[in-house]
Amino acid sequence: MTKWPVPVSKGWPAPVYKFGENPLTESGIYLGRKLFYETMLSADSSISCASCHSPYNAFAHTDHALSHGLNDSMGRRNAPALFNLAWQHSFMHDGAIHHLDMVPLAPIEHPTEMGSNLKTIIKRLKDQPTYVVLYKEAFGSEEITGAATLKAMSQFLVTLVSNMSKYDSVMSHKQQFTEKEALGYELFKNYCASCHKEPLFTDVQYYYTGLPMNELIKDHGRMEITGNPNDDMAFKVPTLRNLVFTYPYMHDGRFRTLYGVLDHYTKGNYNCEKLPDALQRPILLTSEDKTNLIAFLHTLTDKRFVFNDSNHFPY
Amino acid sequence: MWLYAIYLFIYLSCITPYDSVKIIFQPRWDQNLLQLDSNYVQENSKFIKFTTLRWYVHDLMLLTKDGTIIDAPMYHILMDAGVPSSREVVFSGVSEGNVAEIRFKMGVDSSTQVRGALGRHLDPSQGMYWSWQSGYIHAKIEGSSGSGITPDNEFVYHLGGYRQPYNSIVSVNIPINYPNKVLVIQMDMKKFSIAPGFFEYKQIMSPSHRGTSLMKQFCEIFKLVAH
Repeated sequence: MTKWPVPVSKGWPAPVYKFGENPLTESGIYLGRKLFYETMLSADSSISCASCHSPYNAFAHTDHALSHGLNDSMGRRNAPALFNLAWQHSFMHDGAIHHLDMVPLAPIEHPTEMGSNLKTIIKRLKDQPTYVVLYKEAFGSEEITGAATLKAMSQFLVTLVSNMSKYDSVMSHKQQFTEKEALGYELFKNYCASCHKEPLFTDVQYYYTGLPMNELIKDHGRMEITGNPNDDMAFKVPTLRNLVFTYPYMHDGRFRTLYGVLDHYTKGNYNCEKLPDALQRPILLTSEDKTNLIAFLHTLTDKRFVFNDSNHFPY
Repeated sequence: MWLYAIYLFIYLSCITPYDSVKIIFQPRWDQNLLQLDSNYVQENSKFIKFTTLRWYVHDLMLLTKDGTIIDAPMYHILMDAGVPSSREVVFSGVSEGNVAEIRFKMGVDSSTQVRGALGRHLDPSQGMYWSWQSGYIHAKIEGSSGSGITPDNEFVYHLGGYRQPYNSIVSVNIPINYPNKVLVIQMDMKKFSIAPGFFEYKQIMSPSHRGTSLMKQFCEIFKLVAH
């Protein structure tokens, strides 16, 4: 069981995932990766995690506003991109899950996603000698348990680290922003950075941003978890890294373009107590400002992460 | 000489470390042992049956007369009405004459709730973990009843919650008035079935006031009886 180093990023806060309880090993990561692409995890063996979390799109679900699952059933939300997860203490658009290990349970059991359960999956895996060997290599035992399955998946997921964008090069003084990007960065720091905190570009908190409720879906966001009326329509701040790969945007994919997102924030609806402080003032962006801001957001694209073969299907 | 050896053997076998006390959690319907999927008759003459009855206890311990605490071999124990061995706990190194109280807490404790994937009794594949949000289910009680109003007259209670205001981890303390090597804690499901809300609620699938209230009622049914 070759040990694997804990992912760290220079200048970033320490990861919050408790590696002591699930030490990374090469075989653990490989098993997790294989499970991520394994369609046996779904009821009819047609859907794997990668079906919605596409490895070609920073592990997001692109082109679909709402993610779909078993028998093409439509879900309520857009599957978020997966990377830099070791730095997050809260998962899902509504923060329903607060340990990375337990995250796969939600899509595995949801009837409109994979429609299965750990018990069934374990039965199926036990019948595959390849998997029995992989579990033995990863955890020292041929016994396939729910805990081992979830821990292996976490091991793979924490290795998905995106920290090699142009922005990161600029921050470590290896590159410089263009003039438009630099102007965009100033606008970003002025209007967006309080919630989309650098370097993760999220503060992993939940805010209402003035999005009108989709009456068909009736998704109340964080309030569905906390029961607190102040959390109505509050959703998690998503990371802004790799946005070019992860359209459409927002928890229900209602904006297909970044211009659409900026139009929402510049609409002029800022007189609302429920909004966070940063949004309770007019955000005035000229057309040129918007272009500059988007130019900056493009510097958060990390092609080396997105095109990294070691995260892709394990042939 | 032989007699002496026999007396010595008997004497030695009466003291520790061979001393132990066994606790059995025993679901019942009134005077009968509860069988899953069997019909019982309620006060209102309607039938009721339980198809699932599983619960976690944690921090199970025996208190001795001299104030010592003997912990159960495992901190979290998943018990199932349909699996008799899961409901038996043996405490070694204590004699029945010395036990004063049984103490335990229902469910999974809050610090364990926020840890990652855990194994054995706490393995999520046991089916006692909410998939759509973080948290263990303290107790699963499912069945059907002739007086329900849902199409199949089913009731499905997944009782959980470890954070305010829906913290439903309840402590249970049972004084032992009838010391015995085998202590049977009876759980009268008939008493639970007349708890307020048992028939009205029908479904509880998340931490809630109803869930917490039913959990408190569930904890009222643990009774030690003379064996």
